[in-house]
Amino acid sequence: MTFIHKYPKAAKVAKANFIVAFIALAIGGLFGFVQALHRTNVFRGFFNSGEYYTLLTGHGVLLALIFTTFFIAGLFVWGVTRSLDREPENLTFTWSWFWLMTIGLVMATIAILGGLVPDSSIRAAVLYTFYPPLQAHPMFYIGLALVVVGSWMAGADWFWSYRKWRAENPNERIPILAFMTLFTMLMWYVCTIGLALEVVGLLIPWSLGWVTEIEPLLPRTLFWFFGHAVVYFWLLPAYYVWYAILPKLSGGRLFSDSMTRIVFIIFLLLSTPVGYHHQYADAGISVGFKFYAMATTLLILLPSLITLFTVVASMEHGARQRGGKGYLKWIGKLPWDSPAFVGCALAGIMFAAGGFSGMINASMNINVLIHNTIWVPGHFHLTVGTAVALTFMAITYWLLPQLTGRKLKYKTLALIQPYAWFLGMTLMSNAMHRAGLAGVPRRTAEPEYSGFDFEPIFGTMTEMKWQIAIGGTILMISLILFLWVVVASWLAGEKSDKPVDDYIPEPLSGVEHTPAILDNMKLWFGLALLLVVLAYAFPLWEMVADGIFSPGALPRPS
Amino acid sequence: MPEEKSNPTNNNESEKSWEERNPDIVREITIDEYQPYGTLTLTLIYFAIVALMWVFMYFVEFAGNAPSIID
Repeated sequence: MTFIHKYPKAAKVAKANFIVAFIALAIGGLFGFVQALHRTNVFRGFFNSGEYYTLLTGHGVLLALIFTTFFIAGLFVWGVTRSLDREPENLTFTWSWFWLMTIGLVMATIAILGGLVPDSSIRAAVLYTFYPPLQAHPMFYIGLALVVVGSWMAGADWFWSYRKWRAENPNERIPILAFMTLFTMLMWYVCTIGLALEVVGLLIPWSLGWVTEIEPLLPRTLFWFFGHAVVYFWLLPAYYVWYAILPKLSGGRLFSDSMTRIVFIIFLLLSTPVGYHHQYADAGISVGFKFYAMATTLLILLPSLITLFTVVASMEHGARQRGGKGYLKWIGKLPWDSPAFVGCALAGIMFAAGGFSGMINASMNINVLIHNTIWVPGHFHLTVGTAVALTFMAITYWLLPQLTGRKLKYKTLALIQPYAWFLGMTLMSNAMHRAGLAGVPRRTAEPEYSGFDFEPIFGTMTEMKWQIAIGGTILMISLILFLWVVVASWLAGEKSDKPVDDYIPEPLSGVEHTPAILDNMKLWFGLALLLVVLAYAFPLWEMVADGIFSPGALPRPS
Repeated sequence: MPEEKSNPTNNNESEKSWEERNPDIVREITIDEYQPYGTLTLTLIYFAIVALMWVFMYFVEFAGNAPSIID
């Protein structure tokens, strides 16, 4: 018996979400490959440099917003159902959020791809941050709004299951998989307030022509109200995998239940009031607010460092149970031949490197050095592009058999895949970081200027260019391997009652050692809202005091 | 608790812990026995790398370039 046999309805919902996620991954990944060749001038024959920005938008939206959101929805359906031992409460409601998100994604994608049709009036080359004055077709904004509303309903669905479970189990502690899901969604509710206000209140009326003027700063600020927390919306499900599943894949147990809960609470509290660290270079925001954001950003390193300890200690526990010894020799005893383990472990290593470049980004003075350079995409290809994406791909090798009742096929290819991703990303990302230090801009189809040569601090521009192009190509190959293994296993894997060992052992330090206050959702949600009010109330009031659509400050589009 | 039910295949199996049922595991380590020295070692190595990179950043930002703020 595995998940699909016990919970066939939830398995169907999770699989539907995964199908959408993997289609978005395939298209978005292909766009990334084309960009890697285009901006390095290795090959510019696929599209022209104007169309580059359409591809860039597609890459960002399809991977960072669509692949992640749908994969997370599938993962959480699996976790909530399993840990609360209940199928979704009302399938009509469950399928309605799935279809709402899907309709929204199709609308946004049509708007983006319209940019590749000559003379099309439907286009959305506004990049993933959609800053005004760049303007997209209204369908793009409305589509994205539907995806977000659908994700709110998905969260409501899981809270619904939780309330029903709570009524039947009044004295039980929240199971850890459900706890991590609910706290991630609480954070999502806090941060998407900013996005909803921006998209529904400002961008949709503006793109429909109901208002003609828009202040650039207010929507940017509302975007970043959401925009940093969204990275934790991607990351926390990866943490969910690292805390709940990776210890078992390593042959051990989660080190501490309370540590896990504390980490998720800190992320709920601090993910949103840090948005200004993306706006260090924006005029019109007091340096005091930026400083406050810097302090909270550096504080948010704390839960990631706790994670470093807890997850590595859990893996070490596994390695020692498998016979590992010594200070470092135990690492060799980890299951380096298991695709799911290898993907998660390599993703974690990449995240440690991304943590360093993140500290540079977060520091107000040093940020100026790399602001808007290709260093920044170099950073987030380590975090969302590897820590999150590679973890999602790797855990698919463990989840898919549970959702389909079929064994994984082509295990050797599945094992090569995470190593290839790690290699490709090492090449691409280190070169992007160094190119950024030399001043190469991000979001530029042709980063070449006549009469000017970039002067790299170390390495050469040619070597960096080839590392980015070759790294991008290896990543594309890795992605094809992943999709091939998934499709083949899904359609033709050997049917089995127990296609994978899906048992998750209890933590070493279990819930009996966890203070009850950690489960108090109202308390932590209230505190999170209070911190957001402290960070944002005054500056937002200042921005809207002169009229929401009648900005007093230049520059503005007219 | 990640999972409360172990889905044992028979009664005999249900009495065994997960470690005993898993052929890859050579010994079960309880929380009282477990000393994560390896984690400490890796954490110290990571902090050393971060500190060195931070020092390196000084050269990238200031020493490697002409003065950028005060001339």
